[in-house]
Amino acid sequence: MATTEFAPVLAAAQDGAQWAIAALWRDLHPRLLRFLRGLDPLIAEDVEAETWLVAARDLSMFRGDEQQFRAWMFTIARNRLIDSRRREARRPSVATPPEALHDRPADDDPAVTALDVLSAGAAIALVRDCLPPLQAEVILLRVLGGLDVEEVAAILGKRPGNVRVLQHRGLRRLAKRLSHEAPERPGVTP
Amino acid sequence: MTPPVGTPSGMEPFALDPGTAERLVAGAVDAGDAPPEYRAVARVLHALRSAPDDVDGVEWAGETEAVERIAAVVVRRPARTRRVRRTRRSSSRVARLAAAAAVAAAVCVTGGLASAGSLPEPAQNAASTVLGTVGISVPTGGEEPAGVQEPAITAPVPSPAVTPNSPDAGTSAPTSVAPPAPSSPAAPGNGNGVPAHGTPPSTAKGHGNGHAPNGSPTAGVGNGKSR
Repeated sequence: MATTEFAPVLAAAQDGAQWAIAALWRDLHPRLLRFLRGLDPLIAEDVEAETWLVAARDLSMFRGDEQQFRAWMFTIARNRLIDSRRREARRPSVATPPEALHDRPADDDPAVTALDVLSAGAAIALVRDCLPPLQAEVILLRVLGGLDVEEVAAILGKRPGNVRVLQHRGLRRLAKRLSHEAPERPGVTP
Repeated sequence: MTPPVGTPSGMEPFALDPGTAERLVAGAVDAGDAPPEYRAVARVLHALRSAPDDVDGVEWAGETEAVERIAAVVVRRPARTRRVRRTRRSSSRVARLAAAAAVAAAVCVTGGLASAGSLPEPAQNAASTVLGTVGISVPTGGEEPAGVQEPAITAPVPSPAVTPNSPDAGTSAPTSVAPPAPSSPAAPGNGNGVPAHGTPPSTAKGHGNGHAPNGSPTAGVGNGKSR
């Protein structure tokens, strides 16, 4: 969404105009869903739906530009995810349904090998499986949210320096993992 | 790890400077322009921010329902806000009315007591000062209430004919008795029914019934109820 368009769209969405809400949803929904899938694929869709409802409840009070709106949405998504995980932790463990396993990459996941045609889902799975949670969170917020270091630091409650270190380590770890994977498989384009 | 072929010895193979890291996460570097060790990473990051396609068609599932659900919550919000505001406004109006009624009642009671001269002396003085500024005459503390005439009190003259042992004692009035002032709260008298023997009339003050005991030669100065 162009920055110049954002203010009227937000104002209309705050008045409950469906076309404006749909515009915001189309812009942010894939990013939020990918971000949440990168952290917890089993509850990502529920948390994302909850995120929108929380945002809708407080939308009339939001003031800011598009970048701030995006940071606000990702903050809500992250907080809802943390709450959801806490709720899940209090419940007895539930067996993973087989249909949820399609998000888990196998060892010979073609997404890892055929990087040329890597889909978003496979890339999310790669980030989630290769990186420790905090590094994955930093990379996903920066890439999917389009947020700068300071905004990510504010969302995570860390200093910008810590975020830079986490980002650097995450990229290196990813590079090492991919360089390991690539030579072992024929026909890989690194 | 052994450095790949072509990597200068002593150089970390996955070295990454902060500028390149920033460009990678910002999507400002094409995979072909990235450092060789990071080309695969650049492809992964590019795939992350790619537009949803058929493979990820599930990302668009339920758009209509989701938007309607969100819009319902957004629309409901202003109505609730207005109702809360109205409730707050009406409750504050009730509070203001109650406060005004309490102040009016306090003014009436205090004014009535002040005009009757029944307040304690400091309060009476204050009330007199305040009400005097708005043209209402109220007695000060230690002063007779306005509008009540000072009773003409004369010093009792002992009647030689009346003695404590006289058969008329307790039944006859003194020779000079102040006219009764039944409604005067500041009517002289000690209020306990003790006769004001030898007390100058002007200083003999008191409140209450001031019943003089039977057999009092002077019968005191009371409120007219002396028997």
